[in-house]
Amino acid sequence: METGITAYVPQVAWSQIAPFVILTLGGLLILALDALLDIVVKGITPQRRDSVLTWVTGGSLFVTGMMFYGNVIGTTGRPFFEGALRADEFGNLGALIVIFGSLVFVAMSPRLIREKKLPAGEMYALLLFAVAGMTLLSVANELVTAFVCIEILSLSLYVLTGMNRRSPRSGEAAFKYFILGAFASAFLVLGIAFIYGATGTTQLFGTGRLMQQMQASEARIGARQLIADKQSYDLGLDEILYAGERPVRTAVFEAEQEGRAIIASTRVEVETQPLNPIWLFLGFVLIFAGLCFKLSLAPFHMWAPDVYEGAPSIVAMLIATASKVAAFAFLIHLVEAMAVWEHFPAASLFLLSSVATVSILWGNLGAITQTRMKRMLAYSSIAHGGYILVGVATLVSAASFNDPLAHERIRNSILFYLFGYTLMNVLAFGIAAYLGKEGEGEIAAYRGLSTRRPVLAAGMTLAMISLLGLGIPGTIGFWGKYFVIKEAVNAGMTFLAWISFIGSAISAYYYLRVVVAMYMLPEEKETPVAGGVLQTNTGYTFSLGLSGAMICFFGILPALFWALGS
Amino acid sequence: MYLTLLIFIPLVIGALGAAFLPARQMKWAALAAMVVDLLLALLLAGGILGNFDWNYNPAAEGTESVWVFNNEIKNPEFQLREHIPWPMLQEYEISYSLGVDNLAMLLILLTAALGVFGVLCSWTAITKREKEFYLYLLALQTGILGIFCALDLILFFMAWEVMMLPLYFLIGIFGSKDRLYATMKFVLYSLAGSLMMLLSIIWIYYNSGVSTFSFEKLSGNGITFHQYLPYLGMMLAFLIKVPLWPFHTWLPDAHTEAPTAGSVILAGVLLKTGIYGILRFAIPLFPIPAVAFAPLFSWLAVIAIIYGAMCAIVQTDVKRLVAYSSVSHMGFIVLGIFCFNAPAMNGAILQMFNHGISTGGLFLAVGMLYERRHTRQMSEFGGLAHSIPIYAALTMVMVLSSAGLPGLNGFAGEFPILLGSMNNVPMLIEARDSSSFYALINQVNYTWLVAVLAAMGVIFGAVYLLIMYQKVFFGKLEKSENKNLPDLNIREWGQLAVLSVAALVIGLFPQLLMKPISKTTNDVLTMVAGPLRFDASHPNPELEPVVEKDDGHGGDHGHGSDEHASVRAH
Repeated sequence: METGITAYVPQVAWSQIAPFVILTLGGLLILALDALLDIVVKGITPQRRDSVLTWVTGGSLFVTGMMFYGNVIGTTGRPFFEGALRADEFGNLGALIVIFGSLVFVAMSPRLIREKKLPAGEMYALLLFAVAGMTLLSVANELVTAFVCIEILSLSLYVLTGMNRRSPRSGEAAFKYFILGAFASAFLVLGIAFIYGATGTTQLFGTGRLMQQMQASEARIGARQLIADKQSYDLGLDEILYAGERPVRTAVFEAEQEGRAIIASTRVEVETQPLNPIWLFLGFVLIFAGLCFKLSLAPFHMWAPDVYEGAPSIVAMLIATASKVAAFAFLIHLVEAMAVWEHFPAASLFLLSSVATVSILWGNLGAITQTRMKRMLAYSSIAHGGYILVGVATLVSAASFNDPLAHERIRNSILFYLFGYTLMNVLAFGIAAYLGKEGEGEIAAYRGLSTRRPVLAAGMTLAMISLLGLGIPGTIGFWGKYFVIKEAVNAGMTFLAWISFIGSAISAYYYLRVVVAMYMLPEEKETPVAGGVLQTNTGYTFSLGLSGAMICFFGILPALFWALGS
Repeated sequence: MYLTLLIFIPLVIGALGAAFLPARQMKWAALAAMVVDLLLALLLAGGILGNFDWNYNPAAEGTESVWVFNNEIKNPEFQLREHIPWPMLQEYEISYSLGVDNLAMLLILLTAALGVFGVLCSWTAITKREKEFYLYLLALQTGILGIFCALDLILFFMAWEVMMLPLYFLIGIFGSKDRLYATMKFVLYSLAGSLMMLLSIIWIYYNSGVSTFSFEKLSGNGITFHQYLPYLGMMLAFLIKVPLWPFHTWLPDAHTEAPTAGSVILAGVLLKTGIYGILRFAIPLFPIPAVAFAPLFSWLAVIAIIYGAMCAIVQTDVKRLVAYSSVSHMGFIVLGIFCFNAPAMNGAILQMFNHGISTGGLFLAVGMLYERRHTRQMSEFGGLAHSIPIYAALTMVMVLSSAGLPGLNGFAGEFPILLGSMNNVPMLIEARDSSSFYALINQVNYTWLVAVLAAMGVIFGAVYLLIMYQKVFFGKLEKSENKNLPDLNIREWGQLAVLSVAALVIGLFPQLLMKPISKTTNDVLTMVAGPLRFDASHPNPELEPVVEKDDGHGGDHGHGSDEHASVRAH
């Protein structure tokens, strides 16, 4: 927005943007180390070099994670960084889940790098850039910022997908992902443009305010000016509150100046804009379509099975978990901003419900016919995206907005689902990758695993029944679905609850087929999984064990998760 | 703490054994766990029956066989209650709450006893992957005991699902040829049902007005519902588990493919969890839909009785025959419950116990035969009474008990059911808020036909069981493999002998169980009668309900009578 103030100095709350700075600088540091380590340290072995890179990456992720945890506890929910970011509890916890997923990635990657002979420096740098994009996306409060975040994380993930240059499948997957992702980005940009056109701002927080103003102006002709004044005065006060350490008086002065400028600009906009909610909604639909692609929700899911199968397993894990968590966090912030327009729930509920329904049914039915492990997990993640979207639809439904407590509960249930979903997928993909090439391939290769590797088979069973969710209580997957569906029933969306139940019942077939193969079928002679010796590293086994333990622990004491944040 | 101990001893010992014991000794740990559990269950039964007032007379309380109405709602008195709010989930009102009444006590006793037999019958039959086998068996025991103790709806659901997984592995790993098909069918059926139940439970939470999953709190506040969709959702889970025709098709497959221990526990206890759920939760929470749908379920039960018996007659596999006989017998139990009168319900609950003994015994016997000959086809046998006489004699007791011979337990259960169904099944109601949909269901109500068809099921039962016995044990001993079969050893003999004695004792002294059962029946019927009678415009409980003595067909009910709750009985 053109403010016209030349003396304006942006206020930067360094403590709040520090995590993102650390991630970006960490990525650059990795690139530098990758290039310079050989020159600076004479005679360093490639193994040592890789392990230095691993520790630097893990260290910067860990520090960032601690900072996010600090932010979760001290969360204010106010916008900062010129209103481009806004860290509420949901955003911070989402970012924390993203960090968890990427830490697991780092713990698992040395084995992959050794086996596939991948370039460690590039991979870690790309990972850190992707994580910077994801964490920023989960706290983004401004549409252009969100777009940039999505592009950063997508580009990094495209390259990570094609990281295994010796595998044609990997290259094909990266290409497919990139081409389709470019389409999705086009949708996003167009949607952002529409929303800007309809409201005159790209800020989510701001969008909501201007919509309020718009409704008021429709109701009372002539009061438009007054409201614009009041609105901008409020904006000024916000600036004072959130300015950080600046002396209050200066801030007030600046805010007044800025406020006057905003009055001037808003006045023009309010007078000249057609203020048509159709454009706002169309913009939302386009952004939602772009996000559906990132979230692999039906009918934008076609890329997922191919990409999951072609990408290295732990990259597929990152795509399935961390990137989805970030995108869902953004989607939730988006619908919350939109929902200030009073007709938004009525307009969008059908859209959200139908995408959720189609995803659940398509994902589950598609998974039935899959014979390969990672393709099956891809379809399962499509279905899980549908379940989470049920939560989002519940959030949007009008009933929830009248009741802040219910609103909070629904957000919590979605967050819990995302957390559980991350853990389950980490375990499933992690074990599949652990078992080597065969583990990532045909499910039939898992036959007889329970006698060869009882602990791994038990872990995979835990992952499967937790993904199955509603079937077996005592896992985190059960409580995730339970909370989401309970809120859906409470909000009167029984149809979506039915769909979720039907989907879960269908999913029993393909999840348990893996268990059947591991426990009940005799060994296959040809290419059994884990026929030989498996390479291990401590970080890998530790993260698998940690995920399994957390699935069980939060399966018994689910509410402890929210206690972490308060 | 007592019930917690009872529930978790099998699982804990099983987990410790699987972690620390060598595979060969796992069965000893399993046996120890089951025996300790049985002792605890006996102590529990002794405690409850010791405090039971044996002069208890339900007729004095006024709910004997006819509807007598009082507005006051009586709850079953649960004993040994435990109540711990689920940690950190107080706002969701989930709690770990346990308690038993007479019904649960009987079923716990049955479960614990059959658990011991389950271990004993696998003693030599299971030779590979023993650790896993006994771990699953013990986990199954924990799940089933949890079902019978749970007083919180979510806890009940959890136990319900925990029960499914071990049986899935038991059938899938240790079953016979078509085990994968059978186990998948079992899981998909169970899961479909239980998910509908979960939806109903969540529905109850939001529509009860007190936002709780605690059954005690619900029934203590006299909360009942008249909506039929959640009732049907809940009943679907229970009827699949029972299983009632037409949801029964998983049962013959699961039974046939399961290992002996799995079959024994499946038939003996697992099917009862469905009936238990109906009696404990479905009927008390949904009295009006329960009565309204009673004719429908009575008819389905009659179809199950006849259809199960017909299918059993044509079977060539002994185990499959026993499985179909289970379908038929469970039909009797469902019929007894949905007659909604004291004799039939008493009989149904007693028959739950009896069916555990007789069918469990039959599955044990079939398992012993299978262990010797590795086939279950009737054509492979014949004349076994000559080669293994002790086995033949003890199996005879089980067969006759299952067929309902007077003097044995089957008769003591089936007779009151038939008596009750002939007397006044199923009564018609016109609750004040009954919709035309309920009235439509009540149109198809020919009570005498139900009773007659059910009684014919008894005859069919004798037919298929005696044909089976004749083909297997009588005739000439022709096959050479059958000539040198070893007779029962002391372990096998002991199992069948204990069950035979139990069958005889219950057959001769049914009052031993009937008295405590009548208390449960009284509780259930009172809980149903209260809400049906309740009418704000008639606060005076002295008022007699409109009872019409004539016209059992109910052709024109819904017209003519006044608008208050009116109930017609024969």
